[in-house]
Amino acid sequence: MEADLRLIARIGAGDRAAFAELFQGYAPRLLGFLRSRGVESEQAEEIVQEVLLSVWRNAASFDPTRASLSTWIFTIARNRMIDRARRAAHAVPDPHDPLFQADTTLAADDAAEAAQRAVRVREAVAALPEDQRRVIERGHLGGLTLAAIALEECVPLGTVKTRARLAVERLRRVLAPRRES
Amino acid sequence: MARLPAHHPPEDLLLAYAQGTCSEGESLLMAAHLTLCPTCRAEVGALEAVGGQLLAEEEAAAMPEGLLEATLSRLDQPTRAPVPVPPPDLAGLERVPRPILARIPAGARWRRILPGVEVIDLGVRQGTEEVRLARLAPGFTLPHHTHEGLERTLVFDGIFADDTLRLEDGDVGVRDDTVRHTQRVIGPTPCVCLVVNDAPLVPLTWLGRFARRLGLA
Repeated sequence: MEADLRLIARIGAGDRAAFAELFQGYAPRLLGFLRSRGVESEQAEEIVQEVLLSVWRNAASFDPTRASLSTWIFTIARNRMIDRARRAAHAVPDPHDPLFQADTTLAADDAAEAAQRAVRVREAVAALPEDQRRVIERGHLGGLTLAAIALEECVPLGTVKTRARLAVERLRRVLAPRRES
Repeated sequence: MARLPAHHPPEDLLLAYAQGTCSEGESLLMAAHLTLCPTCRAEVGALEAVGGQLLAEEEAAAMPEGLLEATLSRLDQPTRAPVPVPPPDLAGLERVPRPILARIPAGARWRRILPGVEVIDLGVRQGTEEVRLARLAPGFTLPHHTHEGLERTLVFDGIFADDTLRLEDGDVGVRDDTVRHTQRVIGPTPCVCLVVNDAPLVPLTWLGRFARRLGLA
């Protein structure tokens, strides 16, 4: 975590050795992730390159108080996969949109607090009941829709939707402030 | 500034968006809602952090020879700057966020499909999914109808309500085939909304069915 932050700061300053080090840390796991989501080898290798090139180009704008480096890399990889599958850009909010509503939650105060958040995420996922954790893991890692998970587990779609809702409610309680409604 | 949204997308949609498994229409609806809703942005952020954690714990795959060198050789490649797309020159889009504006086809116009209803088709074609921007005139009432599959509505401007749900300012409403309802535009402002349908809606009145048969709705 701290090592990640030191690396990304050096990469932001244009340090190629730091980039190579980050590549060696993340590329093998990223490749494993893409393969588990069913991306073919050649395309997976191309996406690994694109994702890490995106990290290189945007390192200076990375904000560690908002998300961890692995979370940032996960979202870039997810968006690239969708872009390729749909041949159109994955829709994401634009912070420069005049209609963009400012954040109401506080960012982490510093890197130490950000690191604690990573620990909380790990604990929160581990604490989920088995059937809810499978919805998270099969979706995040396997890229399965809830309908596909229902087929895989031979249960009605409504059951999987309920597990998804319960999992999100539990994770939300631990990781994000509750909605007022 | 508009008030913050009070009606949010269901949890399974927040999760599918974070996991990257939702449909194209759903991802457009989510991107629009997340622009307007810091609460849901924080929650999707938390679900993405779960993805980051799982990625960090992923088993390392054997690396193909030369991938690092190939990537290093591309570090100095000039990046293609995104070409700024001018916003569509159409009335009624003042409160529509960029992710939706970006998907309005060039040269699109509001197309009148019923008295009081104009639409712009966003050109998303994934299965039977229909994704449209709609502008509904003040006082417009959508006759009693139900849905094959799900209908999700995000209201950008004006107020659209049925007996139990009042949608405005970035609110999201989800209706399935168990709901038979009549929705109407409240107040003096036309209602501009994004409508994502799994399948076309089913009118329950003879007038609605007639309009459907004529290909109007």
